[in-house]
Amino acid sequence: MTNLFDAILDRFDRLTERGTRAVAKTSGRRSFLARAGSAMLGGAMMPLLPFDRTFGQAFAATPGGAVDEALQCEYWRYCALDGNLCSACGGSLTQCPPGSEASKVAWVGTCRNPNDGKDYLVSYNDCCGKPICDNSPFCLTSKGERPGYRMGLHNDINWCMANTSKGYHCTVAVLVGLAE
Amino acid sequence: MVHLERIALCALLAVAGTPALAQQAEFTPEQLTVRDAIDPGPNVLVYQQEWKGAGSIAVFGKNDLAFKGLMTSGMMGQMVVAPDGRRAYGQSTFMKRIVYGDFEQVVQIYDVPTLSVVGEIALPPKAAMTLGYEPMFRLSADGAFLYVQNGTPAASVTVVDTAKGTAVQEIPTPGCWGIYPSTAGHAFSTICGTGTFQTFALSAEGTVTGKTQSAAIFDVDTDPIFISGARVDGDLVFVSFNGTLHRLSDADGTVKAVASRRITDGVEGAWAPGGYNLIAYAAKAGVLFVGMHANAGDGSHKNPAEEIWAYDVKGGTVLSRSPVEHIASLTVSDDDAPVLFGLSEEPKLYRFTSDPAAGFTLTAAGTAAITGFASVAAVTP
Repeated sequence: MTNLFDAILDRFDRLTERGTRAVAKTSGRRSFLARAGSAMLGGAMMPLLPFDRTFGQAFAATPGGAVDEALQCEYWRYCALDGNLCSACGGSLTQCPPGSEASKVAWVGTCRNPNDGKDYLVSYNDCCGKPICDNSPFCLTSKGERPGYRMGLHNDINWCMANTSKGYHCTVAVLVGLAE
Repeated sequence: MVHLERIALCALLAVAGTPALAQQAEFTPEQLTVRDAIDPGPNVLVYQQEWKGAGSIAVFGKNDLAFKGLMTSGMMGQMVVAPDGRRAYGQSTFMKRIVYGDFEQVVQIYDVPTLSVVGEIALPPKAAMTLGYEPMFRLSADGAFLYVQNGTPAASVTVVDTAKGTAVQEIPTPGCWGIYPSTAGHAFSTICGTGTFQTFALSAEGTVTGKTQSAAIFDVDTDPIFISGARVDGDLVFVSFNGTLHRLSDADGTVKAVASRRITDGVEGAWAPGGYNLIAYAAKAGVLFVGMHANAGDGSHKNPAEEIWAYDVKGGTVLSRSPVEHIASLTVSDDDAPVLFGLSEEPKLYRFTSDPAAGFTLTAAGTAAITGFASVAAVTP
């Protein structure tokens, strides 16, 4: 894995470890979330990452191309996505559907964009607080996925777990960095 | 005029009423009751997980897959069944508005013969909301404690005293996942992201008395192990993404490597293990069943089985390879000729008999419809 990837995972591990210890002392789950939720993976993590912020969007958002592809499980960003597509559920690749909540934590995949041949770090955030969006395609891909002992790479768990509303709705695929 | 109408109405009732009264005399109304209990006999229990409503535990007859009924569960839960098959436990999440709002997590205690919830234990609201995996919710060897995998996403384990009906302690297990209780006493081990295992010793009251860490057991990056584990003659057994079988001992309180061997050596076709609860050991027969798929590569580790391999752990040989369809999780009986049950992603419950004289080759012997995300099953005596 890349240094950036390792850095993200290391940070994730440190945060979860420190969080666990704090929780063990205080039994205050909300206090843990108040600290960790602002710095873990996902949208809140993005300001911490020093990379090109175009994130391949020029390739990913080709009119008539990626927009339609984003509705299919085979779309390149979905290489480690286990869930229903928010892009086909009233949201988009990077937006949760109206009325839902973005998850505070997420797992990360490394997917190759066939348009530029580069590997991108993809944050798979769940969107929360509504029923499973079975109206949209359910996808299961697990490239680079790992069991829960590598939690930041694990896609079998409800990533709405750290939100106030924990019902799983759908999943987005946000490019958060280059893997090299 | 009114008088004549009354006479006509009485005549009409007299004609029409006679046969009706006769029928009523012969008719015995049925009584609505609730059946006391399921039919006796060994069962297979399937945890039918749901993520937008009540899950359930489906009970089928082991020998004929006769459907005996359901036990009620919550959302995103787990199941563990006591060795006698009469008591089961569920770990459940309940949200006030089903998919949002305040939530609580509990252990539900089931009486299997009456398909009833007979007790409930409140949990700290940290239990992992994950797909069904046996190592997420375990029972100690003597049944005194339940161990609940927490994930917030910080990992920890809640110890629950089954007799007192209370959560005793939360044990932080940062970076580790899965619970593997010792064969005696109350210790448990867990797999860590460094490729090691940690083992926690517990007192008779369920509190931590010590912690040990193993040497490196597996390579997390190049050949990670599945969390699905089995007990083989007291040892812990795991398989890796690439097909390495790790045999480990936790007998002295620290996990140690005993042996490791590739079960796919010499086999053409890039076969590898895959699925969820993908291994099951039949102790009397001494055979490990493993879900396998061909053309394995990065990301194929959850592929359902195209074959189930019967593996002789002692001899280190594949005894047989039985073609199956889409089996993602296994459980097996402890008969001389083991009966294997598979769960597919359709979802469907499959029953297979095995032939000890033919390397425990499997023969399809029935299917049953199931619902939800079903990946945990258990066979009862």
